[in-house]
Amino acid sequence: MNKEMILRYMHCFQKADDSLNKQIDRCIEEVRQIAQFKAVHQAFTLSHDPLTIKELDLACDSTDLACYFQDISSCIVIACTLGISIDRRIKYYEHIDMAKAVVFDAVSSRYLEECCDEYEKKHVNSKTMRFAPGYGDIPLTLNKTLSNALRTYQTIGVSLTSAGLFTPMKSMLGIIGAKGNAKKSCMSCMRQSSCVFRKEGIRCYEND
Amino acid sequence: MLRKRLGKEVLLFDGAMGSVLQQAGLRIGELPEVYQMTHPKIIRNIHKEYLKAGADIITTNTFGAHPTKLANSGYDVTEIAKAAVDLAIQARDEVNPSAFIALDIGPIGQMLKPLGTLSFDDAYAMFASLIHSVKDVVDLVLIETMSDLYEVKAAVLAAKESSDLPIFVTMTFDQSGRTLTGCDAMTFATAVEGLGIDALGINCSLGPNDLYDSVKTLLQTTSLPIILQPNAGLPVMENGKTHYPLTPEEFRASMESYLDMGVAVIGGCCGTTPAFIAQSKQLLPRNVVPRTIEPSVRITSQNCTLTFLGHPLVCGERCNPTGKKKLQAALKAGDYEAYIVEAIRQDQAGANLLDVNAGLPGIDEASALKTIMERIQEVINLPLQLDSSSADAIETACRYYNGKPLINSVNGKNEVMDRIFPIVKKYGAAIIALTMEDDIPCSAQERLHIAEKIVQKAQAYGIAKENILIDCLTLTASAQQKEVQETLQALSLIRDTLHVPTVLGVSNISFGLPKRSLLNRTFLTLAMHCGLDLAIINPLDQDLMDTIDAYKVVSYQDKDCAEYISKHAQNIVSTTKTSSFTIEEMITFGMKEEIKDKTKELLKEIPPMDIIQDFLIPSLNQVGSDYEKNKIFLPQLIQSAETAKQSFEVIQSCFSLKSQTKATVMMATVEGDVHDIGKNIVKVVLESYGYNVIDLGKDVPVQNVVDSYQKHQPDIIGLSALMTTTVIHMKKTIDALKQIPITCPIWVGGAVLNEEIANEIGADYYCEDAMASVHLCNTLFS
Repeated sequence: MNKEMILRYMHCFQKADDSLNKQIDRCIEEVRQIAQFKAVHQAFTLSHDPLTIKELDLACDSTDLACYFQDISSCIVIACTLGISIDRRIKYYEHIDMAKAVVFDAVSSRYLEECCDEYEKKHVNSKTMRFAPGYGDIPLTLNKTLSNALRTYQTIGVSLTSAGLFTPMKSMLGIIGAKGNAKKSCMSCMRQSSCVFRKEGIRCYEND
Repeated sequence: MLRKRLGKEVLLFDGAMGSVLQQAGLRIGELPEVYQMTHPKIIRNIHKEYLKAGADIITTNTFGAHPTKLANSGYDVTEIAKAAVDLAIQARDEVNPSAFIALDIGPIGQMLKPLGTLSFDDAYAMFASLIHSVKDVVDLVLIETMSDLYEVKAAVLAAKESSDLPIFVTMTFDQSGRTLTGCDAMTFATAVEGLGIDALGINCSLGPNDLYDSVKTLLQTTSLPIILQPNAGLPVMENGKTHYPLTPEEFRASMESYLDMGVAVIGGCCGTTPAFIAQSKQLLPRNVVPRTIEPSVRITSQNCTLTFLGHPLVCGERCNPTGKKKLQAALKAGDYEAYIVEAIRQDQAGANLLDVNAGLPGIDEASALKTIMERIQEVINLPLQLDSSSADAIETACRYYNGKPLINSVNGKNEVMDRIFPIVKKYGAAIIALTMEDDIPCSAQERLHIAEKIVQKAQAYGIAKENILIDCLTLTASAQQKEVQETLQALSLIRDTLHVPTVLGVSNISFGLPKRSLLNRTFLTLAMHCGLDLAIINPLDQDLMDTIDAYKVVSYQDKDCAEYISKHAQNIVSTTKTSSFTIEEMITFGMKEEIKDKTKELLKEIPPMDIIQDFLIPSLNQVGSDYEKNKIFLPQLIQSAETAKQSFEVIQSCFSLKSQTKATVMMATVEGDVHDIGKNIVKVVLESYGYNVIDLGKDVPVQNVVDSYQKHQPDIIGLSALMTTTVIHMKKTIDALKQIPITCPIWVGGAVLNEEIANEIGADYYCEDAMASVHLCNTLFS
């Protein structure tokens, strides 16, 4: 796993000392052991002006997404989770070792990303980055409609609370451009002008 | 009529509704229940096709008929349920009037508390209202495709308490043999069979060929009729569409092998069609193959089962306020953190189950026991032993327990058994029975008589012997030395005569004598030799736990000494000399355990307040400043804070520092929000600075915050929220507090908050992290 990213999730932009490093290693091992990664995906066709998922008759009220998907004709929606055991273990550590809970939480978040990356590589010919509702101006309400469409509760055990939060907590839903023209690069990222990682000299993509 | 046939002749359910409707034109994301209101003919025809194919039972199109799913659909649950049942009745009347109609109940689609936000009572109410609306016109209730055992319990209780209809329950297991929330087949069968249902089994998720192990487990665990309604194979994606690989003929062949094993009810789930049911019909008529079940004593948590197999098991006794000031204080304050920590420590020490007791004069025991039990179950997988002498507390705890509980206890007095046994029966619990009436009889023989009386009376209440454990009662050697032998003899006598597991609270033996641990482990060894099954002990007593490991070796229970070797081969000897570190260094390096001795050592020479002012606070300030300069990271800051907190606790336990305690801070993660790690970080750091933090937890209703303010009168209130959707609740909480009105400030924090939003919602302060919160409190309360 990418330990540099785990540190970033804890807002650490420098090298970890030996004891923190060991703690991260222990957590990685434990997360791998108890996480039950599950994912589900589905393809949808898009129409533009306004950006709409045709099969669901769902208008995506987002300038950012409309911009990145302007030359994209179909998308894949992925929903995935590490399962409820991870949530329970984070809580477990919060009671007896808060420092470990923080590391465990960060490792879990990263593990979810990496598992989802793997899944995406295997199942999707991605033309864009993975956009999750809540980032930029992509409305959070999309989570609900898309989770229903993917039947995430039945297929992977992911539901939304009435306030719109995922349970299990370590779950996510992303929309990826699948057909059309676009490229994965820092310049095509909606956070290009405000990226805290780039300020620290860290990059997510090789290309600008 | 259904009950007469069930379990004798094999019954045939229908197949899928949802996937057949998709073929008929149901759009992705569209609700089948809403679709039926505009396309009733299609639904009626599907029912008719299944009946023509030979189904004995058809299932109403009400899988998603819950208010959560129907919100904004323009229809309510009753309307949908009545329409669905009408369509099924019309189809039945036309094709086969002797067929049965099952009211279909699927999952609500939201995670229940404590990991989600839907309460057990709300889930129960949703199920009850659905059942009430059509109970007089259906023949049975089918609770299906469940993955959360707790939700199953809510649905079953709703069905039992709303009607006398037969109840069928199926859960969905994946290739790991577990449901999506981690429940396995044995736990499911053990926990649910005692709730008074009629049949249970498996549906959906996998094809029949992949369900062999789970079905076999069910067949071996419960004598209830077993249902199997698999998918038409494991679904695969082909050209962006879901495809089910099995043909109706392959499906039939597979189902036939399950009928040979003893499955009593078959049918289909996703991907199956009337053709699958027609093929399955060719396997009938036939009688259900009889099975013999090996009787076993089992209890469960939400996702694991504990079976009493004749090996000694350990019940952790420490979650009990008797003689524990910390737990007594926790009960009085309604802040149960100390209980959860005790539970986790016992889990880590190797206990097999945990006793939980919340009995303290002057508190609402039922409510306390329920809350503590729920919070322990949130983080721990071990089954719990619900310990109370109050029937109310036991009933409440049994109702809300996730799994099959063990109750502690009844005795041989008729009035006690008459109070407790109906609860045991209703909730399918197991019970510990004490071999006493008004007094503890001296002789082993008399204790056996009481045990026999209890078993007999339990059976009259319909409670099987497999749900009873007998406590032979440990007497104190310092007071009744002569009778100690009688307890040991009672163990053998009851084991050999009644064949039920035996229990002892071991440590009572040494009360009032020196070197208690030595007496405890000597008595425990003898008791195990006499057949003790469950030792209620302190699992943190390493000598006692080691004694059990050794006993399992010499009694040939630990074959090849495998467990013993794995635990004891490496004798870990601590080589670190910690006393060379200063207390400041211990805080910097987060040496949580070592700092306790160091503090005690310092207290011999330095006044307590000087230790706080001259060592703890400056060290914490240094760590805080290093964190703010990015020299150290969040985990290190927290570790230092937790270490300082340990030192504070040692000082507080030696000296009353009440007059010196800093301000009282009340904190909560607001209603609707379950992400509380940020709030918990702030709490730890504030506590390390000596603040008295009252933590109301997560997803805290507005009214709870208001009530808690009035109860605790804090000096400041901290609220956290993670997302924009829950900031709304933060504003509601602030508005409600200001209406009281409150006299203390409110500060807020959380991922989406900033100074501006904090102002907008009426908060007095915004803090971006734990150190900022410390600075704020230090400024306000210096």
